[in-house]
Amino acid sequence: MNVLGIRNLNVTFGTEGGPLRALRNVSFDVPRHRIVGVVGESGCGKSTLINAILGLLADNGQVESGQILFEERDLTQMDSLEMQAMRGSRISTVFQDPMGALNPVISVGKQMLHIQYRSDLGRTEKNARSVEMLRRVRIPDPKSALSRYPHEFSGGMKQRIAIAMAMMMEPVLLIADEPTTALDATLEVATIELLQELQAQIGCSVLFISHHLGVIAELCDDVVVMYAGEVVERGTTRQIFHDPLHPYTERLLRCDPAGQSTRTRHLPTIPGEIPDLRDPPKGCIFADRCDRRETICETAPPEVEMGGHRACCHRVKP
Amino acid sequence: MILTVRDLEVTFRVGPWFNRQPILAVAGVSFDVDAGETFALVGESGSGKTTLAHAINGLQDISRGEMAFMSQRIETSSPGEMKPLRRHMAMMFQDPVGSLSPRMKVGDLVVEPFRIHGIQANLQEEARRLLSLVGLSGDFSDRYPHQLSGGQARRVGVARAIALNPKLIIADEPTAGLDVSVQGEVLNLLNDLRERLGLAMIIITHNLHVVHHVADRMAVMYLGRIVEAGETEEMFRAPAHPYTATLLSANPEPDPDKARNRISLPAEVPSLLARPPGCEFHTRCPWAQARCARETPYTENGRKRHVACHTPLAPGARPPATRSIQ
Repeated sequence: MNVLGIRNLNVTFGTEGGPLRALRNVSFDVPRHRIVGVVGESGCGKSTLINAILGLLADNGQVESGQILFEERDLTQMDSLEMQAMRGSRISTVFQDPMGALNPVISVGKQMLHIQYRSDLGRTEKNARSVEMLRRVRIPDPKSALSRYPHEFSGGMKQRIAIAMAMMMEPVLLIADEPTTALDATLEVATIELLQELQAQIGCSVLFISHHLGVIAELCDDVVVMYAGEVVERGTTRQIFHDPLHPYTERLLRCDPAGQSTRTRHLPTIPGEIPDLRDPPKGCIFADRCDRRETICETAPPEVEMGGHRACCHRVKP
Repeated sequence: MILTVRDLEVTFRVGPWFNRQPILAVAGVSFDVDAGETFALVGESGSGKTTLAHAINGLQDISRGEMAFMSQRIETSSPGEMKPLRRHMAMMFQDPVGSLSPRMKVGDLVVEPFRIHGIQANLQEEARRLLSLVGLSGDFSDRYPHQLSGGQARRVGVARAIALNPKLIIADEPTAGLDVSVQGEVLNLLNDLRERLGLAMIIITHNLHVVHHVADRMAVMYLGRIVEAGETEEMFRAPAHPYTATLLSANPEPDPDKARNRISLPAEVPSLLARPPGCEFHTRCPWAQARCARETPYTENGRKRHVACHTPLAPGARPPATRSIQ
C-alpha cells in the first residue's frame, strides 16, 4: 500500500533560452511506514520534485504530464485550497535551513500554537501538546522553551524544533529536504536517530532528500537515484549500496571518500558536467559521462526490473 | 618549519555596549607546519577553526601568543611588513563564488595577485598557465564568476592561491558545497600541486573522510582549543581523546550493513560565554569522572601526538553504560 505514488511526472520551467525540462518521466512509490531516500547531486531535480509534490512550483514551472497520487488522490488535479488543507496536516515538511523555517520574531510556543489552528483542542491542551512534542525531540526544559525565541536555540535545537512542528499534526507523509546538511557530524547523527524514532512512533512515511550517501544508507529503507531530472535507478537500500546496476550509481558510490577505508592520494571523480536540460540528449542521459558508453546508448534505455530493483541502462540485462 | 603558532588567543567582545563580554574564540593554540606537509584542522561549527586561519593570515587581531611564518613574526608585523609575507601565504576562503569579485573576468581574477604585489609579468601568459594548471581551458578567461559552477569557481580560487608560487596555502573548507563527484577533483588538484610545487597546506574542514585522504597530520579543535593532535593515520586508527573518538564514530558511512558502534553525546555544546571548569569537554564526555570537572588536563604542544585528557582512551574503547558524574 503506497502513501505516495509518482507516475511519469514531467515538470518544465519556462526560461529565456526555451523550456527547461527539469523532471522527465519520474516514477517511484513511497510505501506506508517506509523511509524512502532520494539521492542525487546538484541539478538532479530533487528540489523541483518536492515543490511539485507540495504544489509550490515557481510561477514559470508547470507539471506537463503525469500524476502525483497521495492516498489515491492526484495532487496535480487539486485546487490551491485543497492543497493548502493537505500541507501541514497530512503532508508536512522539514527544510534544510532551520532558521529560515522558524519565524524569528514570534516565540516558539506561539508558533507551535499557530500550526495547530485546525485542531479543536483548547489553548491549554494545545500548549501541553507542544510541550510533549518538544520533550520528544529532547529539548531541555520544554516548558520554558515555549516562551523563548528561535535565536535563543542552537542550530541543532532549532532543527529539532522544526521537526517537532512538522510531526505535531501526525502527518501521513513527512518530506525532509536535506534536514541534516547544515548540521555538524555529531548533530547530524542525533537528528537521523531522532527521525527514525519519531517515524516509528507516529507511523508515518518519510520522503528523505539528501546528497549525503552515508546518511541515506543509514536512515532509508528504499533509495531512488536521480540524475539530471531522471530516475536512473531505484531499489532497496541494500540493493542500491551493495549491488548498484546503473553506472552513475556505481561511480557516485565510488566517489564518496567515506567508502574508501584505505587511504588514497587520488580520489575517484566523474569528469564532465550534467547536460543542458533545455536540450537533453535523445538517448541515455548519463551517456556523455559514462565510461562504458556504446552506440546503443544514443537511444533511450529501457527500465529493467529485477526483484523490485530497477535501472535505466542498456547494459543491464534481466 | 615553515609556520609555528604558540599559545595563540583571539578574543571577541560581544553584547550591547554597556555590557560587553569577552569570549575566547581561540584559546591557547599551538602547532607547527613543516614545508611540504598537509596539516588539517578539524572541529565543529564554532570551534574556532576559521578564526585561527584568519589570525595566521594577519586578517584577525590576536590578544596573546606568537606566530612565525618563514622565521618572521606575524603578530608584530605592520601591514607594510605583512604584505610581502602574504605573497608566500595564500588563502582560499570558504565560499568559492563569494570570494571572487562578480565584476571581474576569470582571466583578470587569476592574475590579480600579480597586480596587488606589483610583480612584472606577462599577465596574459600567466593567466593561461594558471588556468591550465588547474585544468580549465583558455575559454574561461572571458567568463564572469556567476557563469561558473561551484567546482569551476573553486578551481579559479586554487589558481589565484598558487599564482605567486606560495610556500603555504590555507584552504578553509575547500570542498564545502561541492558534489561528491567534484569534491575529489579539487582534492586531487590540491594534492597534485602540493607534490609538484612543494607547498605546505593547512586544510580546515569538518569532513573527516576528506582529512583521512589528504592530511599528513591533524588537530581536533573543541571550543577554541586543540584537544588532540598527531599523525592522521594514527589518530584514525586509535583516537585517544573522547571527542575525537566521538567525531570518528559519528561519521555516517555509505554502507547499510555496517556495524555502527556509535558514541552518542549527551547535552549541547557549551556556550563560549560560560566555559565549563576543568576539562571543557566533561559536560558531554561519556567517560567523565569527578576529577574532570575540577582539573584542566595538561597538554604539551610539540610535534608528537598529544591529547588533552586525564584518561586517554585505549584503542577501540567503548563508553561506560552510565556516566560516573552527572
